[in-house]
Amino acid sequence: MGQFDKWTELMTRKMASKSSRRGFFTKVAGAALGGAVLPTLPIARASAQVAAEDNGVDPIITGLENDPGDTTSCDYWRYCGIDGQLCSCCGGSHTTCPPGTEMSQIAWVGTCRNPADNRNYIISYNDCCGGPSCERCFCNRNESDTPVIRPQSNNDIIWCFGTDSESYTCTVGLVLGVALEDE
Amino acid sequence: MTICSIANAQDLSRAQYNWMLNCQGCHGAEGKVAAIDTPVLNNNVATFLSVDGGREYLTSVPGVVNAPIKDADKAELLTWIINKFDPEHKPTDFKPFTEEEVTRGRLNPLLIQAPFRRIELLKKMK
Repeated sequence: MGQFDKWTELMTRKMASKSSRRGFFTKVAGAALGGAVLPTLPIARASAQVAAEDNGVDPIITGLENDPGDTTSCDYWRYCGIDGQLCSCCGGSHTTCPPGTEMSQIAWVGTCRNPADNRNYIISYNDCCGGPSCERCFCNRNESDTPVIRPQSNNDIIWCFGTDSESYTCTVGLVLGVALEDE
Repeated sequence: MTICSIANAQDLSRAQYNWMLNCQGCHGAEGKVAAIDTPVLNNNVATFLSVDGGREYLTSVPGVVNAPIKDADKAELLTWIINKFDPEHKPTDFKPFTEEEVTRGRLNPLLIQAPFRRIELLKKMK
């Protein structure tokens, strides 16, 4: 029995000298907490959304309280008047063109209601031009769209004017300001 | 072009709002774009006020006539455009556009004649 006690003590001391108690508890707590928290992180919700929408592109959640949404989804509030491919799915973002393309100088302009504060914002839909065509994330929501007889408010037109190339790649949605409310 | 995030998006004056929604798409934020034969406004538009018929021309060009806003708001917008984009050429005795003038322009629109009328006015300026 004495021998066994000595051996146990030796092993315990060896183990204690090679490992820290804090390290041990961190691992145990991490495993317990991680299991509980991981499913609620945005990345988990994001993957669920892909399955629901299946546009072939991983979501890009803005993470902004005042500008909420997934910029690769047609349902993102800024896209209320869009007709085209989303640059967020084509190598750019909702405000920037993909590399190698050029933003059109002219655009069509409308308003969209931001669900975060329920106010209308002026949105400029600028086409990005000069790249290969992008077949991802086609959206056609058309709010405030008018027939082509009113070309300045028609979104069927490809607005690749004033750029080196008139080939259309995708569209961005830029916020220009807060819209005036109807009197 | 002024691009904002939601946090710094500004409240706008009515004229500026009407400009953004009805004009800026083709003329560009600074009125400098001439992409689809759209006349450049910046440092140019007020030159028409110096010749006979120029003021009437500005109230009856297609972009002005077709903008879907009230005549009174359109008069305010035209005045804003002159002050904003071409104060350099603004005549010293410039008076703001009136609703009546804009109504007259709307009832006598220059449609396909607009470019020809423009050339006539440019000749008068020389």
